Amino acid sequence: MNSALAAVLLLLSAGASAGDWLADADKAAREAVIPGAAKPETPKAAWIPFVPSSRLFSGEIPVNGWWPMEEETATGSVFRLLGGDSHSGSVRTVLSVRFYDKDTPGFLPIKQAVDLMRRENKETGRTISPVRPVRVGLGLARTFEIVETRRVPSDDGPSFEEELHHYVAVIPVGEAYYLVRLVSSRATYLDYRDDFVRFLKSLRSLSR
Amino acid sequence: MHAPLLALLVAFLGTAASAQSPTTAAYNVKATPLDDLSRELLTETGYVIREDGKIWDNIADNAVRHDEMSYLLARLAGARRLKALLELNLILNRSEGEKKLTEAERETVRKILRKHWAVFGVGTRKDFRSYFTVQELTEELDKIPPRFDRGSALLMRDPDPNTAPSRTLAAAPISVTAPPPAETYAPVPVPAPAPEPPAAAAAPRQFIPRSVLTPFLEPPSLRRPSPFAPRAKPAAPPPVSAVAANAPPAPAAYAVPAAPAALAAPAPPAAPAVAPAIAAVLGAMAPVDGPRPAPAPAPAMAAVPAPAIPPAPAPVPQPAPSPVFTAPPPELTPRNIPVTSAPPAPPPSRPAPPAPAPAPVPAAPASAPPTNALFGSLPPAQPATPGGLGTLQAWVPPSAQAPAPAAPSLPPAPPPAAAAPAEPPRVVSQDATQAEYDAFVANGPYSREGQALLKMLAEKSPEFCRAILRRTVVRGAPLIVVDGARAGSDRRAGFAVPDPAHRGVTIALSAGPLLVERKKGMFSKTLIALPEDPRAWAELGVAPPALDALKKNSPPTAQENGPWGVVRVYGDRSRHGTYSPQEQAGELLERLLLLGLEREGFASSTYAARVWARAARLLFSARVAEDYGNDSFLDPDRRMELRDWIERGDESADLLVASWSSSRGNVLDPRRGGPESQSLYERQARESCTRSLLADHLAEAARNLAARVRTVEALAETGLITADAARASAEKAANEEAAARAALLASPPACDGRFGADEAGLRRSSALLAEVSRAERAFRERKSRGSNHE
Repeated sequence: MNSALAAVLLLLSAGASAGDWLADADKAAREAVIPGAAKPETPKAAWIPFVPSSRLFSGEIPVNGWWPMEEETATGSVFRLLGGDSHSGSVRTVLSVRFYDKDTPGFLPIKQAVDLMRRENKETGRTISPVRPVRVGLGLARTFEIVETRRVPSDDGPSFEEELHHYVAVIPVGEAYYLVRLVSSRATYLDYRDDFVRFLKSLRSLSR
Repeated sequence: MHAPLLALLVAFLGTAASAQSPTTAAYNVKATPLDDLSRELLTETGYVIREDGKIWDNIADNAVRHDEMSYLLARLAGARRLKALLELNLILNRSEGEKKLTEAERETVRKILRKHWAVFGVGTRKDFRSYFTVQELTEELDKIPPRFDRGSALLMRDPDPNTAPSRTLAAAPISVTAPPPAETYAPVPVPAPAPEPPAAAAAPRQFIPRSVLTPFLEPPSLRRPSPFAPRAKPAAPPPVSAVAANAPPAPAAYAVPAAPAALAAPAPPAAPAVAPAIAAVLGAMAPVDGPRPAPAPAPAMAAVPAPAIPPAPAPVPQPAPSPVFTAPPPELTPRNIPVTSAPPAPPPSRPAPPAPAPAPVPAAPASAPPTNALFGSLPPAQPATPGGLGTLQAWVPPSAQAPAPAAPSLPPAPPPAAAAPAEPPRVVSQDATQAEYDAFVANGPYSREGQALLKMLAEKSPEFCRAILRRTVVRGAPLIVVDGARAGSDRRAGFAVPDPAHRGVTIALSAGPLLVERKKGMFSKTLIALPEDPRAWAELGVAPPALDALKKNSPPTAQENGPWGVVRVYGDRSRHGTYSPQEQAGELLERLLLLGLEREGFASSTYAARVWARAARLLFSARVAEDYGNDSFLDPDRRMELRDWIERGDESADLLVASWSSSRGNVLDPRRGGPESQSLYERQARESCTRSLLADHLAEAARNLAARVRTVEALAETGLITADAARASAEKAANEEAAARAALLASPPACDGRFGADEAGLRRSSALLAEVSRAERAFRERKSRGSNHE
């Protein structure tokens, strides 16, 4: 019974779930024929070179289905790439890049920072994979994965528990370090693995 | 005949050009005052502040430009910092080591440090703290905020006039939202409205600034625009295509699908789908023709600048019934402009009327709570008021009934043709003192519970939000009820359906969460948190589940204490937990601040407003947790949120963005991002206005479908609703989306080029984010030193 229902719902929502609903809507708007308006050019490459306005790094970012966003926070500039929505509609995939140095408020040396990130939590079922070194453009990254369960949305109901997945890469630059994280629903995290690795490998420092 | 036209054209182009690049003009300290540190940096390096307000560069023999100032100050501060560090380095290298400094050397170091403390960063300050006593640090040096550079020297971004040097580069103001309003808002350069042909001036502005995903849509039911926001009617309704003609009828307010009558929230039959809450914003001074407790003089309010006065509603034809969009809400009319305590002198061309007669505002319901987008996921429906639609039934707070010392009459209404709003009008309340707040809380319409919560907020809320909190409570007089069944889809606090007996917005606090336990796998269980308000279920298009915990008179089978407080357990494994008063106070604070931001025009960016209010709540909770010695007063979800925010702020922020940018989160539009990038996006989108408008409409239709279908899918999987109900709801949502999509693609919405949010409002939103950064930075600094006081 439930599987039949799921199939029906899947069919009904095919318009929204074949890709990300926002990407699909954007695509439809781009391709719409509007009298007197030229069609916007479609990006020729799937990935383009990119430097955020904070000049946090240089690298390549995917064009389709990802939206860059920058923000100045208490701990410095944050660059984010917003990706696709999860199946539950409660979590959008987010890739973030931060840079921490001694002047960052609440700065923690890299080892302490990694230890803090790798701390497990029974309440949220937070489990951490072993650290795996990966050679990337900026040097040797320490990468690991985190899985935890959160009740989302946190403010509204109905609110369901959902397993979230984090890819984390910490890349030391002297005493400072870059922190790159990709948060997604655990159900879809493998879809973003290649994108995360490609972005990580293209990452370069500009002025640090 | 041609000469006046030519002159008009020249004036138009000139104004437009200057509006596009307002920052290339010379910096003027009279328009944008500098703080002491900035003045010192400039004068000690040879710049001259002239009497006309310009800053003269004697070497270049030219005035410093506005767009250079941010960079210049950053460079001067950097040079001063470097010089100081070199001096320190000389002393430390000359001596036998830092630990063996002579008394004279130590005193010299202290002197240098004290002199340049303002330009030192956080790390440097930490390194040299040992040279000072605790008393010196706490009473003097720690009170000097670290200099905050918004722009990178490598980048030279356009300086933000609203976060100009005087506000962000050095000593931080108490709060972006702090009084006095005149001072706070004075530096915001409001671009002069470009003269437009009468027809264009009367045309509606094609945006609604409170949108989340589609800030610039015409006001359809889908978008749940802010009832406080000024908005216009759509310029021209899209023709109904063949597909659209076969589409289901327009949904009720806020796109709430048809629901059983018992579940549907009351909605005005002929009212606009999204009723403006101008009445709620305007407070007691709004024109009223309903019964009032007393012929109250208007409460003192600060003036809204004349250029911000919106045009009178143009005689725009009502849109034809559309498969998706309901009728737009009415516009803010000039007579809705609040009474001010210190209004600007009216222009000579606008003679003041002898006495502004209170008049009913057409098509404005008694009050309306804020938007779903900004204030939660479900805006309450707007019931018809006893006085009829369009009549403001104002509840006048006691403080407003007292004669205001300087409450002049309503400023004269500008002629409609002269008003071309550069930004939405803002209701800036006069500040309320702590004594006023205390008196209002004691004598206002609050129960003992409500009074206790408000008193707690007065004591423990972060400093940066106290002024707007007091103003919102005293001038806005929101009602507070403890009733989860009126909180919309919010689990802890939301905005209730307005009480016809009162004008103010009603904030409904939940007494405790409604939880349902379900098996997960072989051995584990999961708790699902459900909304209690029938409106939340109506929005999903399904009936509320038949749970014992939802029935009023169902007795619990057991009671237990746990992380969700005192939990009443019912026969069907549904549960009702309890929120502690401390947690309720935090939720109330967040709602009050959102309400205040909306009232005073700080909510152009929903994301920024939500971030600001959430930070205030978290700082409040952190302070309470420190006072109590633990955070057990929070429910498990909030507790985890607070711990994450304190210990792993970066991860917490990423999760927040991930949640808020999702289809169900609906706070952050990924395409627009934060306020600064939103401003940029809008400028670019304006170039292809029709296509951008189309993209917004399509995105909102798709978001609505995704959010609804995925929610009912999850509810059906857990057995909380039947498969048939889920299927019916999903089918209806899919049909609506398909019809909307087909209609939009067949005839894209017309756009007259006046597309875009108010940039001044977005600048204010940027200032909010900067303020949150400062507060959070200070908190983290103190936390790392072992003190947890915000």
